[in-house]
Amino acid sequence: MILRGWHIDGFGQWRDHRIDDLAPGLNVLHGPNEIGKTTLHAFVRGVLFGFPDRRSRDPLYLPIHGGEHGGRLLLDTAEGRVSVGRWSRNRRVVVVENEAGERLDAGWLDRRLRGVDGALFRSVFAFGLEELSGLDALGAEEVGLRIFDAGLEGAGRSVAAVVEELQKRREAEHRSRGGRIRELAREVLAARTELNGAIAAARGHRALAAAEAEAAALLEARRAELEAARGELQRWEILLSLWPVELRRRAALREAAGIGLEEAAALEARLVTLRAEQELQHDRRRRIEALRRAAAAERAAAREALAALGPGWTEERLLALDRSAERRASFARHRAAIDAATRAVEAASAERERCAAEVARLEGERAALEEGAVGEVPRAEELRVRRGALAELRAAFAAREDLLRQAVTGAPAPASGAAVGGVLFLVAAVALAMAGAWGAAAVAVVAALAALGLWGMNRRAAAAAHGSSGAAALEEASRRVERAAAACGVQPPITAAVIEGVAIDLDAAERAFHLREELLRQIEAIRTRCAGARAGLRRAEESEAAAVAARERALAAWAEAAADLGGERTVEEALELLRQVDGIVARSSAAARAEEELAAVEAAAARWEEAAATLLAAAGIEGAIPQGLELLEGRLARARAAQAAAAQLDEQLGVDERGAQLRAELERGERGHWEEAAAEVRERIAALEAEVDAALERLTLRRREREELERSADVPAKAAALASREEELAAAVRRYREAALLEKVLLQALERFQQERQPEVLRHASDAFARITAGRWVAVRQPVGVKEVEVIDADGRAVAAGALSRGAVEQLYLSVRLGLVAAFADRGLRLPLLLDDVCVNFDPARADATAAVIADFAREHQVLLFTCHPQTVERMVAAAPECRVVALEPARGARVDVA
Amino acid sequence: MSDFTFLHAADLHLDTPFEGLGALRPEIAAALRDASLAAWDRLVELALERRVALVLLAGDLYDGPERGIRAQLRFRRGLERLAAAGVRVFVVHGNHDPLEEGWSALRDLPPGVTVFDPGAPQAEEVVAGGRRIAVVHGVSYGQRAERENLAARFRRTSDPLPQFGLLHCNVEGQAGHDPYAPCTLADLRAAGMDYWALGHVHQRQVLARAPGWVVYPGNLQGRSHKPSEQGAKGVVIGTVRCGAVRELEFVPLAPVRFETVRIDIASVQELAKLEQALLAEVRQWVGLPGLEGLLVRVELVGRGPLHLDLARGVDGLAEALQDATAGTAPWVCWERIVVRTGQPIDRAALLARDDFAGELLRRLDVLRADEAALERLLAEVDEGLLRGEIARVVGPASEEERRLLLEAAETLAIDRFGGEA
Repeated sequence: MILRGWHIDGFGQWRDHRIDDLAPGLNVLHGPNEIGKTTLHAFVRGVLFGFPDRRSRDPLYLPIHGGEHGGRLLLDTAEGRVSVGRWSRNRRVVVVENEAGERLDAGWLDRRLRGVDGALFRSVFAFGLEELSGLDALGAEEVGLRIFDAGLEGAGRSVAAVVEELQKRREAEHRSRGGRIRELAREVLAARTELNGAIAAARGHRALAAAEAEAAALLEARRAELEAARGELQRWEILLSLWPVELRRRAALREAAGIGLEEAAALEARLVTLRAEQELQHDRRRRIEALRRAAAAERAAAREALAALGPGWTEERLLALDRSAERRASFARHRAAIDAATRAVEAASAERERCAAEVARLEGERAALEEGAVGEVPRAEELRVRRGALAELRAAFAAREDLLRQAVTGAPAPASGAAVGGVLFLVAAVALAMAGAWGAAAVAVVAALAALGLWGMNRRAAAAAHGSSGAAALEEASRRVERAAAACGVQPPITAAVIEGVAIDLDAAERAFHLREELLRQIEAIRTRCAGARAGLRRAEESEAAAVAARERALAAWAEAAADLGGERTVEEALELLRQVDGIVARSSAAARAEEELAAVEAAAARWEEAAATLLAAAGIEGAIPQGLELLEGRLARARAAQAAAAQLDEQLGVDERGAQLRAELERGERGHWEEAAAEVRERIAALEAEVDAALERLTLRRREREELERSADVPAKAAALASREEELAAAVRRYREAALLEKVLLQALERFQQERQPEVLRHASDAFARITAGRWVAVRQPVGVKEVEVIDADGRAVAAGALSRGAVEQLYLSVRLGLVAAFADRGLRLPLLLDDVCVNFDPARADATAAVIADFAREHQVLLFTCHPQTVERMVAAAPECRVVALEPARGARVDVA
Repeated sequence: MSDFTFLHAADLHLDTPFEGLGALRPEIAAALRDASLAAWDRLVELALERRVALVLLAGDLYDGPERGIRAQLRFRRGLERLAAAGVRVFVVHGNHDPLEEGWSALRDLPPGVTVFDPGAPQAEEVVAGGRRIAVVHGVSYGQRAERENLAARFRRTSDPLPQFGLLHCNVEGQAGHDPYAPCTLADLRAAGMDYWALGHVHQRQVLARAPGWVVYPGNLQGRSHKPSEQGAKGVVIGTVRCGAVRELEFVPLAPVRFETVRIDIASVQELAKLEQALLAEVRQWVGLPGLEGLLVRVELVGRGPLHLDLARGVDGLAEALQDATAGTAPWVCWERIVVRTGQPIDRAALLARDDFAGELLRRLDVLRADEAALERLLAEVDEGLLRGEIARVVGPASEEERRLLLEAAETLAIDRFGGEA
């Protein structure tokens, strides 16, 4: 790839710095110190391989004049112009775009760099005086690898790493002293030994099994003998242990005084029965006395109570008397009926008295009203006629008055003092009436009426004077008034006051009429109520008579019901009599029951005594019953003891043939013989037990041996363990061989590679170094197995690089690097070579020669030579007039072409 | 003639050690330890359940002449059960348990059990229910390395009953098995048997059908991940009707099964998919009746993007697989993950490259072609290894091991140096 330039956004002192026309050959970029040449180196390296982070010892070149930290390189490649950009905000991401601005994949750059990393680039392709002078450090161990890296495309380091890794793997499995394989080999050997031992041991299994069976048979035989001896001993021990029982049995039989076992059982049963009732028998005796006393007492009390009832009462009569509960209930019903009838009579009497009082009260009220109704009152017709006459009078009077007013109006008369006075009197009457002075007002009314009457007469006179027709009408009117007045019973002169007086009288007459009418209605009502009260009185009287009759019937019924009690008795008296009779009868009954029980108890006592006497007689015992029974009981207990001893013997000896033999032996009673025999058998058993223990021990031992063999000689388990170990060992050996084989193959290939590829690098380096040193040194080489390069002088002498002067070493390693770059190029990896004032330590002759070498080199490879020395620029221009010279300026880096 | 059924089994290798297994969890080791004996117990149960008239055991009852007190005792218990049920048992011994080598923990065998002697084949009638039902011929190995053609010594009698030949042999030189008692199918046919009950070859095979069945039932319990040891293992139940063997039924009995799952990683893009693919393969065996355990070996082959992940180690994958199948029935033991994968590259192109990777591959090809050069190199490799106690237990690499070593070296070389040219 050809670096055509860059666009720095911000990097160290560079900001927005652009170059896009670098030459594919030699480019000389110059500027004063601190212009930023090293910074440009770092920029190119950083874009290609990543910017250092804060953990790195390399400077970060943060932007001093702003701009984003990073930028782009412009590269010409087989795919055309490509820009490769990187910025520190995302230092791991490189942005690759083609001319069309299309983003290429992230692996594009790595593929073009073909394994060259930042360190290799800095060492071989982009170095300055520092790296150059430091190459000796690189050279001793690493130059060889660098040289071969050129051929291995960076794999030299990988080979070393892989070889180291393989060595570790190999040594993990096996070392001269240790390793997994050795451990596993030991385990396999141990497992084999164990397996072989198990196989050998297993072959003895049959013999062990036979020995075990033999021991088992012997044990069985000894156990059988022991069992027999124990049986014999048991026989003697049974006889010895039962001998005291036999003795007891014999003694008990003697003390039973001839009561046999079967007879004892029968007697025992009867005795038990009698014994069970013996206490009862004592009670019976006590009871007989008590019953006798009680019966006599009851009889005496009954007789005394019967006498208290009076003459005529006998026990038979008492017993014949009905004392049933039904009868006592009927007595209660009679008492209830008599009480109810008595209460009915009392209620009826009270009602009758109340009705009589009511009649009397109503009669009184009626008489008082009738007394108030005495005197005359007008009749109703008369009052109607008088009301019609009054109305006619008022109409006639009003008509006459109208005629009179007409007569006055037709001939105006002078103001009359009477009219005025009448008016004034009326006004005064009204005022007085309003003031409440009714007397004065009446006087004023009368005066006013008088004055107006006077005024009226004057007016009539005037009217008469006014016309004769009017006079006739007036005359007629006056007569009408007079007729009406006559009908009303008043005499002229007829005035309004007269008419009002007639009206007042009529009103009074009408009120009197109405009062009389009301009084008459009340009298009539009372008469009606009085008739009702009298009817009620009659009914009450009838009810009272009926109640009295009913009470009489109830009393008669009771007398009939209590007739057998003798004499007249109230219900309570009758009931009391019955209670007394009850007491007498109860006492008689109690006496009878006591007498009856007495007879029964006396009979039972007699039976028990008879049975006891019979039992004792059967047992041959004479004398008092209690003592006889005690004696019999003692004899029976001994008989039982003998029986128990016999049962114990049966239980111990059994009822079979052996038991019979033992029983016969026991009856012989040869105790001494038994003891001797038992002692002998005990000794024999002790010996047999020891033999059994020994046999058991032998069997246990044999069995343990066999089981132990079966466990320890578990051939399959041990074979499996061995197989497992062998498999692990095989796997470990396989891993060891894999690692060791590949390590050897790798080293062989590397050696061959070195041999084949080394001359290619060193040939380039030798040519360059010979030209630079003007033939002082003619060749550069690296012997196989030696990691440091050496140089050959014109006389063929080899000198190690470390023995050269500084300038010569720098020239040597510059030459080696040119060879490496050329070798990489031969392998298809072409990267620009960036040199930073690498000639400053060279003398002018060698500097000129170096310039010539570089100029020639640049005809095949792009070279960017950075310098701060104008003479270097001149030297390079002299060596390569076609070179591109770029002047770098401070700050934002303006450029000036000088060629 | 009576109809009856018979059971044919071979290569029981009772209480046998398993082969090629490294350290296993204790419970797995115990299960494996008991597997062959459990299979024998199942065989007895099956014979009783199916009411077979005879049981034919065709050699290699034990894995070695000196192996297995436990195996012999267990074997005897099974025979006693069969004898008690009236089942006739015929036994021949093979190369693993020759009669004249080793020893026997058993003093005598139950009645009804016939063990054929070495030498000339013997014939014995089978009587069941008071009736003659078959004739069984057989011969045992006296020594382990029986090189004679024993089959050629068998001859059918004139009896019209069905006749069985019981033999431990290698028919037609079957590969992977020692050539003991070698014979051909023609030899077997010439004997005129109705049924050849063979043993020795662990892979179940029916070499000929009626008339004249020739059958290897395979071994009773697989013992390793060898091809012949994998898959279902059990016995053959045959049915005889009207005097002829009419049909055969294979009945798997082995409680533990060996299986290999081979996955080509060419199309597998991620480890999770690989794990799923492996688990899917194993599911086919989950729930099989009678199967208690499964030892799965994984072989990863092919070239694919997963190779570099796998080359860094497969412990994580193994743990994930074990976790995923923990508690399943049958139990699953991921015995080993063998990685024989490579990067997805063109080997021929790599070989042609003029770079270090190409040089490495060419160098390895030279070693493949030059056996002597490889041996010399391996001798150098082993020089520091095969000394002292290690030399007593480790020998030179076998041909197969040498091949695998070169394969592993090439894979590693490509991994490290086989980047794009």
